Parts: sequence; structure tokens; C-alpha cells
Amino acid sequence: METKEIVLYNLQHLKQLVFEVTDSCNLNCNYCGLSKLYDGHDERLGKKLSFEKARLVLDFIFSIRDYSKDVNYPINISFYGGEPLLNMKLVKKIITYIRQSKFQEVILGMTTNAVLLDKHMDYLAENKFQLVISLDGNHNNHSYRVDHSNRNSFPRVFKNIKLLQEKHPKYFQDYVQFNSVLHNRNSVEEIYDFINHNFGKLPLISALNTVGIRKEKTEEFRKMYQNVNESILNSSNCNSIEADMFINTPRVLNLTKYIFIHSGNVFNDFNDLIFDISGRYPKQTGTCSPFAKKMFVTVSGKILQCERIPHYFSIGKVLKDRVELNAKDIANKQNQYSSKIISQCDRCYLNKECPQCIYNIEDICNENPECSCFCDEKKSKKNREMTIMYLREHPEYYEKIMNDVIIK
Amino acid sequence: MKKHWITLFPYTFLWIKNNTGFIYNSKDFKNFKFRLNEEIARICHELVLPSNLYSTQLTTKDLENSNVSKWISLIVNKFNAGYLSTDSHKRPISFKPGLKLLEDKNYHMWEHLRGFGGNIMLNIHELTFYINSSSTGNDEYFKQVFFPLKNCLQIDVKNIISFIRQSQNPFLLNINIVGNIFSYTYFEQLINEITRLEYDFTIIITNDDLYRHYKRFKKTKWPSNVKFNVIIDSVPNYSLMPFENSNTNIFATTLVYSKQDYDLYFKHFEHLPIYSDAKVVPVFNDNNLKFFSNYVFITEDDLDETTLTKRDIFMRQVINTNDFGNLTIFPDGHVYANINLHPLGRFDDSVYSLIYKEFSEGQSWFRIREIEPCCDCIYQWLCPSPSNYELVIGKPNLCHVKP
Repeated sequence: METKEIVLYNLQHLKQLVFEVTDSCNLNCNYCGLSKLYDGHDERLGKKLSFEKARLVLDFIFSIRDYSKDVNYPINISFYGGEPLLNMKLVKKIITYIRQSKFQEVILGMTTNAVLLDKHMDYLAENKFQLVISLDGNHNNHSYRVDHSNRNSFPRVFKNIKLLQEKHPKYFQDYVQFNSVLHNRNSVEEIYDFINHNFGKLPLISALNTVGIRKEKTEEFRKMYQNVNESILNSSNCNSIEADMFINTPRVLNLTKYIFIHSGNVFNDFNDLIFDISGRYPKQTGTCSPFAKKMFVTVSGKILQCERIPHYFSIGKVLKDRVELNAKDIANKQNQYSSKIISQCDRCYLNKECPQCIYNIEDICNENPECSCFCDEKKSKKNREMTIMYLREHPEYYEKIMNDVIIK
Repeated sequence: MKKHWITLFPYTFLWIKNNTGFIYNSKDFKNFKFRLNEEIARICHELVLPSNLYSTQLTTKDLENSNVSKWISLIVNKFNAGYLSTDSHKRPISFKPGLKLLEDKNYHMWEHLRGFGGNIMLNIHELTFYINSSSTGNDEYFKQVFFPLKNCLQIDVKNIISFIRQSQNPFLLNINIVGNIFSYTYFEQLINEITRLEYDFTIIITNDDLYRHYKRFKKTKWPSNVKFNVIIDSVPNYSLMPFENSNTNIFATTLVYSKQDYDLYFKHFEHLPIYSDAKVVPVFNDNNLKFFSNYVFITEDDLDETTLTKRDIFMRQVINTNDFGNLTIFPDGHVYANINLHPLGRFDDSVYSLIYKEFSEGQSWFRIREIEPCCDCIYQWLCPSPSNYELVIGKPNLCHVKP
């Protein structure tokens, strides 16, 4: 149950602020979440976020942050697109503004396709951006990532990443991550081998987003889609991939979640241990409390809880002279959506393991939406058995998870 | 061929010290001690190996050993473990109780090194301000219990408010004001500020001070977030209480120094049910160690009657449950995590820096039973966190188990 107070607290302690600095992209990836494959996002019109809008949001956030003397709550300012390197002018202006103001230290982050990385890498390295580079593997693996002339972006991207590694080796080692999308032209094994061999890193691999696909594109989507777990199981070195990528593989992640939730041994922090917070606020649905994780600002000034939520669920707006956010309305709106599926949650066995964001339920706007993650007793038992079986095969993972893994 | 497994349940604690084993069931709160012979010791050590998942396979030789089989029957019959004899290759699994705290002490220190760390402020749970002196105060009792000081300066209300504002967080549950509030120069300002702040306040005052200012007490419009804790430092004074029966926000703490005081307290209390709540607290005064030894020190019987959950035990393993989250501010400006230990700093230091200091160097919030003789005791984690009594009496433990 969301309340005005919770939303305000989340805003005061916001962990990540994401700016969509442009909706343009120098690539035209076939599977992009903002492409014609998907519904739910604002039309891509080559817009750029204005500095004024970004400034209003920053002023708003920093004015309400619950600062005491010396206290510095971590806030990550991230830049997203389209391709954010296409609007570096704004990125730089925002950072200059943050640095010149009395605002506290921030962590900077960006997700990029690396096409323009050669032009901006010095600035990114100098400012210690946590950089997520999209790379799907080798030339062929990467072939859905094409430019507007339908040319594979791999040669340029690969050259740029190598240049970054060569010019800024320490930065590359400490701040650069790879994100790879799994589809029918690559496999977990190929991605893992390529990125590990060429850059000595472990990629984050995700499947294509299954939510919001346009009806007429379903067939095209089906052809491209590949499940991460199946791809791992089909690889020749499944065990070593899982051992190496560990928490970034579905089975280890499921096991970790299972241990975190069911062992009774894992607590988030001292307050969770002392006051039993999780027991006090039983969680229904996997939806984040508004702004508990982040705030996303689109090029047109729409405010959302996350970049993965369809834009028509915006919960605030940047106006000409101010930010319009009503904590009470935001809480009520989310409660209304939650109430539509609460009867399913009551019968569902996932409980705290629920991964379903209500805004990604296809028919959440209808009167009686159906949650695709609903898990009955039989399914739950089966999932549990599979997790236990996996633990039986890898009893050594328990210690590793308990000692080394932190997920929030 | 059949395989035989013994698996301890996830709510069963197994502790091993030298040649003694100890099982505590955090579900039914029963425990038992056992001697570790060679075979049982081996089985116990196998059980606690993390990769064995609280299970171990028993050999035919184990089962034929009468000591082992008796022990197995005992732990199974007492619902601490399960025994499985199976043809299946499936090994049983269970999660040994062992705490994993995602944001532990090291996490906060790492956050600090990164230049962040605001979340550490969420660990402030209670503030105690000693605001001024009282003619009925005492300069020793405060080391054990909340009690006004006799000789001290007065704290400026601005410092109190500034400190509270810096400490604000959703887990700040109570703010204590200790002293004679009626002789506090900034009385009105303090009450106004209390009204504005949304936290619960407890005014801690001696029975005598309150009695003397009873008219003003009655006349003052106390904010609804204020409670009173009236300290009675001499049991016979109990009968002097002037209140009416309807004081729901007033509770009493009576200090006792002897068995006689304790008996007298109960005699009086029965006839004077004027408080919403009342408790009796022993105080050490250099002359009553025997009283403490007889009535306060922990015995094996006390520990056998413990009803601690898994979470309670985890808490005792990582924090001092008496001190954690508490800061005490003295009129001379010193701020303490525990008033018996060195101050963390002064009230004009940032609260963040004080909390960080306690996390990184402090000896109070994380003072647990990990030193001798407690670390060698089988009851180590069933025993309450070390208290102020230990510090005042000058003993690491107050018990008859490891005297």
C-alpha cells in the first residue's frame, strides 16, 4: 500500500535520476524497445531534452532532499536515449550545473551504443561515468544493431571500445560494463566468449522485452526471441558459464532469491533485522514503490518511475517553470492499479518473489487485468523443486551466495 | 544401497565449544547440552560445514555406535533434526542459521569511502539530551539508568533542535529529555519545538522535582507527543505521588538497591496504580554487589528459560541491543554512544560524522559477547548484550555460568 509519506520519503532519498537527453538514435536496431516493434512509448520525433527542464528537475530533487550537515545520500545521475552521446552538449551542461551548484557529489552513469564513443571517451573517463555499452557479441551476433543505412555497427563500435580500453585502461577496468541482448543471432556462450576474450569482462545478458509488442509484429518478435536460460543450458560449457557469470545467470539468480527470501538468514540492513520491516509491509506485486529506485524524465518532460514503463503511465510533468508532482495522487494511482490484481496476488504463491511490475501487465488498464506471472500452488512447488534440485547439484553455491552476493 | 542422512532444521542452532555441544531450538525455545565424543564431534563439524547444507551422511558404523545413535534419536525426538534413510541420490538440504546483512558495518564504511553513506543515518533510533542539573539528581546513577545529573551546565535549546534536525529519519523513535525541565531556562521554547517536531518525546524527571513543580506541571499544556518517565530513587517516596488516576502518559521507573527495596516496591505498587506503566530497575551503588549477584546476575536456569527467536540471536551476534541506535548528548557538549565510554565528539560536530565514527571506531553499538570469558561460553549468544552494569561494576559478564 503506497502512501503520500512513502512517496515523499522516496523522493527525498532518490537513488537514481535518469534523463532521456534525446529520443534520436544513430542506430536503428531491429529489436529496440523504442522501435516500431513495441507500443507504449512516445513517438520518436528527434527531440532533445531542454536544459531548462533538466535544471527544474535537479532543483526540485535537491531542494527536497533530506540533507543534514555532511550527509551525502548516493544519487546516480544517468543519461539515456535514444543515444545519449548525440546530446553531449546537454549532458555536459547538466554536469557543469551540478558541479557549480551547492549540490553534493553524484555518481554519473550512461548507457550507450558506443558509435560516438571515440569522440567523447576522454570526457566520460575524466568524469568517471559508469558506462554501460551495448554489445551483442561478435560481428554476426551484433548484426541487429544496424545504422540507418542498415549497416552493421559492429566494426565502428568494436574499434571504439578497443580504443577506450587502450587509452583509459584503469577507467575501462573499473567503470565499464557490457550489456548484451540475446536473440536468434547470438547465444549466451558466444556473447560470453567474445566479451570475456576481447575485454576480460562478464556481460549482463538480457532477453528481448516480451511486453508491449505490437500485434502485427508478433511473428517477427518470435523469430528473434531466445530465452537466456535455455541458451545457457544449450551451451557446451554451461557449468563454467554459470560459475563465472554466477548471479547474472537466471538459475543462480533464482537460487539467490530463494535463499534470500526463504532461508530466514538474510536481512537488508540493521533496521530490517531489528524492526522486521519486511514483515510490517508485506509486498504485493513486484512493482517498485514510486521513486524508490529511480525517476525517469523523458525528452518531453514526462516523469516516470522507470524507463521500462510505458510512457502513458507518467506520474508527473516538468512544466515551464516548475515540476508538477503530487505525492498523494501518485500513491493513489498506483494503489488503484494494484487493487485491480490484488485478488490474484492473494491466491498467488510468488508473494515476495513476484517479479511483475503492474505497469508491464499488458491489460492493466482494463477492468479485470490478468497477471502473466500468476503462480498457483502446483507451479510454485515445481519452481521450488527445481531450485532445490539446482542447489543439490551445487551445494557450494550456498556459501558463495551468502558470502559474496548482494542484490537489492 | 540405503543412504542415511541427518539434517538439522533451519531454526536449530548448533554451537560447539571445546568438548561441549549445544543445541538451541529457536522455535520451541528448548535447548540441551551434550558431550562431544570423537564420533559426535565429527558429525557436528560436518553438519556445520557450509557446503554440507546442515546435513551429513551417516555411515553404518555411526549407526551401530550407541553414543551416536542415542544422540541422533535425541535430536530427532526433540524436533531439532530430521533423519532420512533413503535409496535416492537426492541429498537433503537445510539452511544453517547464519546471518547475512546486506548493509552491514563494512558496507557503510565502503559507502563512506565512496563519498556517500547517508543511509547510515537511518541507524539513529533514540536521542537522549541531558538538559540541565537537578538538586535531586545524582552524578553516578546516569551511568546505569536515565537519571538527572546533580552538577552540570545547561544545554542551549538551539543545540538540541539543531541536533534533532540533523538526526531526523523514519527510525528515530524516541527523544529523551533528562533533567529538571521546570528549571530549564528555555522551557517555553523547548515545548514549542517539541510541538513542531513529529517525534515522540519522553521527559525524564525525578519524582521530587515533579512533586515540587506539580502546579506548573498541571498548568502546562503538554504536546500530545510527550510522555513522562518519573524516576523514584527511593522506594518509600513512592507514596508521595500527587497525580490523579488518569495520567496515561506518565510512567514510573523505581530504582532499587536491595531485596528489601524490591519487596517494598511491590507492596506499595499494589496500592498505587497511578501510572500507565511502571517498572523497577536495580542500581549498583558499590555496596550491593551481593544483591546483584543474587538477583541480577544470570544463571544457567535463566538461560534455559530463554525464548529467543532466530532474529533475536542474530541481533546479539552483531549489535549491542542496549546501545545500538542511541546517542546521548551531555550539557557540556559531549556526545556519547554509551555514556560509560569515550565521547564520539561534540554536538556541534555533524551527526553524520559521529555516527560514522561509532561504526568505524566505536566500542558501544557493536559491543557484543565476543571477548573472554563469554566467547568460550556455550551460552554466548543466548546471553543478553553487555549492559551498562558490566561497565560500572567492571566485569565483562554478570553471570554465574562463567563467573
